Amino acid sequence: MKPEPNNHLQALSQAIVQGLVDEAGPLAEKALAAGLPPLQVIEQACVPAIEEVGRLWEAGDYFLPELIAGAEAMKAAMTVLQEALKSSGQSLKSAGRVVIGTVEGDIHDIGKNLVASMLRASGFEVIDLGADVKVERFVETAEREKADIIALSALLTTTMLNQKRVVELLVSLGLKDKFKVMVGGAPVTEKFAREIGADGYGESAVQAVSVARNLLAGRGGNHD
Amino acid sequence: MNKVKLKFLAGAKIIKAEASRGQTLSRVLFRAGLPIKLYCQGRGICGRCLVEIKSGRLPEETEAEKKLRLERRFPPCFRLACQLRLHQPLTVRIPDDLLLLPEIKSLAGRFIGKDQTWLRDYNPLVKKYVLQLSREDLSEEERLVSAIKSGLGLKQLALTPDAEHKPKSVGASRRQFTAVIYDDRLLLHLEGGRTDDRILGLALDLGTTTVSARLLDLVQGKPLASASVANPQAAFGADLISRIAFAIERPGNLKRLRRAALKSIAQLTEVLAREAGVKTRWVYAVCLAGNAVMNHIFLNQPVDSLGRAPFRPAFLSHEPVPASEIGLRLNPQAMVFTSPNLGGFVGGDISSGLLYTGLPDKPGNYLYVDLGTNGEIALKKGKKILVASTAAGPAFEGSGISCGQPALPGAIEYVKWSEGRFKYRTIGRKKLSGLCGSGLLSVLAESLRAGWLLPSGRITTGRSEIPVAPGLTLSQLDIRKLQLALAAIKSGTRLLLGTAGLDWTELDGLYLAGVFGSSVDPAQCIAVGLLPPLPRRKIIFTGNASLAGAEMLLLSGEARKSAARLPLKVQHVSLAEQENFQGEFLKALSLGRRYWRKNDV
Repeated sequence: MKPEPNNHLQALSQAIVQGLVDEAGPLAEKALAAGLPPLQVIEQACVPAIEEVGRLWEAGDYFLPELIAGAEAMKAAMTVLQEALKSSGQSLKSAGRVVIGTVEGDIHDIGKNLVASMLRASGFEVIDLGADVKVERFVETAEREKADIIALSALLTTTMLNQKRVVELLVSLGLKDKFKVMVGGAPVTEKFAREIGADGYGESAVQAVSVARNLLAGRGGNHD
Repeated sequence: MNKVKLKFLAGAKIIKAEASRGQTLSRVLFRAGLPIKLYCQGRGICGRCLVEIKSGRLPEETEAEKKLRLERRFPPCFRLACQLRLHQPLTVRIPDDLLLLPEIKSLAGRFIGKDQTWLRDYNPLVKKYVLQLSREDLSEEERLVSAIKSGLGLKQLALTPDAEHKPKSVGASRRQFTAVIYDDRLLLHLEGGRTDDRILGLALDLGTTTVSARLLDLVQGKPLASASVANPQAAFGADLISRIAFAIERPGNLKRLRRAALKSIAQLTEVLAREAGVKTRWVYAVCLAGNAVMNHIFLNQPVDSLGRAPFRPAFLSHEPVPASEIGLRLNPQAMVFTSPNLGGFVGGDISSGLLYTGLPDKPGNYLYVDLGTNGEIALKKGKKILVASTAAGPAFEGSGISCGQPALPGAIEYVKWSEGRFKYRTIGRKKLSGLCGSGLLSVLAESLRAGWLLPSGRITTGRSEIPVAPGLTLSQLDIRKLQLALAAIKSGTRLLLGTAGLDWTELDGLYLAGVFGSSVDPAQCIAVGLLPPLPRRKIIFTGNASLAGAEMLLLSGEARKSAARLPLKVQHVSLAEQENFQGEFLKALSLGRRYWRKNDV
């Protein structure tokens, strides 16, 4: 008996929610083989799945390993599905381009990596500059890559001032309106974000996705 | 034939021993397991190692003994253990306070095992010698120094640069003087008359949260009083990074932090002196163990470099500094030094802790873990020591946890799941007020066992909290914070082991220092996965190892030598820059013993 298309979508969705990285790719292929169009698989299996992962995280049921596994499984499925889109001459509309990194003087990057994973899983194109990134490099890269958002991570009270320096550099170059700046990291608060003139602040990797979406929807950041 | 039979009376014990002909008594005592305090290191000048010959034929006196007997007029049956050479059978009484062993017991703390004795020698940092000096000796500085140097048999002797207290200023009419010597190399002062029974040392642990101090009698080598007080710098920031941020923010802030620390040290010193019935001006030496940020502030060094990668300290070790220069009101000639820094976040608190355990000079593989807001880990393998720090956050100190609190009376320090409920014990058996670090760890371990918690850290009950005691629950968010704190230590430990190419099964011992009080149960530490599942006997709790280490640096010359060598042996590892840091950290978030299972193929 041929499985229902719904079963394929459900199996893939389940795999992503449970963070089964090795199974998500093959399940996406199966769904395509069953004749489902890639866009439908993305919209009806992958997107709701990653949203469910986010919901479980926010509810406290999921923790970092589950969140990352979910994002990884999503990535595996999306690689297959985007390839299929490309060969049929279609492409997925990017949710936006983000240049992300941990600021100068700071070498902590687990939090930043998480945000990058969640953004990617949610359809953003992410250029990750790593940790200990100089102020100028953020701006140069954003210009070159025609980014929409610059996302800055800082894990130390002493280094979060470098988030401010990025905003200041953008202002002095007259580029402040060209890019949205979002900030995050353990010592960073919404108040601090507002004070330094950032456009958005996310408390967690899941929040970061909705902040980024809001910023590009022209509705402004969390604190607008 | 060439052996001499000896009988030692020590306390209530009679110990029989044999010596080779011509050996000194102090050497034989050391061999017989009765090491004694050799104040002048066996040079026969201090006259402090007097033992009583109860029976046997007395050997001839050495020149040193003759000279001392003339001066001090003790009866002929009293002899210097460092000078007396054995040729005939003797029965010797060893005064109790001459033995090194009782101090080992009282100083070594409650948890460190008996076999972990650390006081390998007795050589206080400051010593006093009573001298007869002639008018000529006192006429010239050079002559005086050379007279003292040869009189004391010292290889070198320099004067403190402090001109106001040059020994010349002592009234020349008196003939008897007491020379105050620092580290067998520096003449701090020449005091008129006999003052050699008054020498105190101050051991300090300047912690981010708590300042602890212990006053020591450097003549007897015994602690007189201890006390601690909350670090008043907390008003300028709770953790180290926020203190650095504050210090950098505006000129003058570093000074404010420094003044706050000095004020609390002055208060503690006053309290201790009062309690011990002594004067603060009898304190001639201070040893401070503090993390790098604390000792930078203490010594008025810039902290900027400690607040950003690569987190380099401005100094590792330093020459002793006059206490008057620091701003501590003790003896005007008192000197201060700090236990060496080993890296930006591996400071003097860790070096002193390591010295306390004796780990740097011990054969074998050892791990040293200090649990605090900043978790420090040291791994000794062969001759090398790898050190690293990891940001565990304040969860172990009960901070940021809904029902958490510091380890004070009333805090739950231990729980056991039995008959369907948590049975708990509070510190001092006082009325329940919250959970401290060891209690939190205990709840995690027992919740796992009772099935309240999954290894992923999720509460299984379908509820969002674990009821621990009436009115006291641990929330899912609390557990997440504890998981992060545990993971920082666990992953750091494994990465360090990996860097050294060592498996935890190859460890000869693990020292656990820091905030956990007496109550932490090693089995529970293993059950939550904080520590690798080593046999119980290999896990050693050190208590406040930093303070004990500072104390040891004041009392033991070997410890000071070891401290001087330590920075050269140490290699600092930056955990966050390790390639597999993230993977290791994520794996370490799971609770339980599984993390330490071998997964190599």
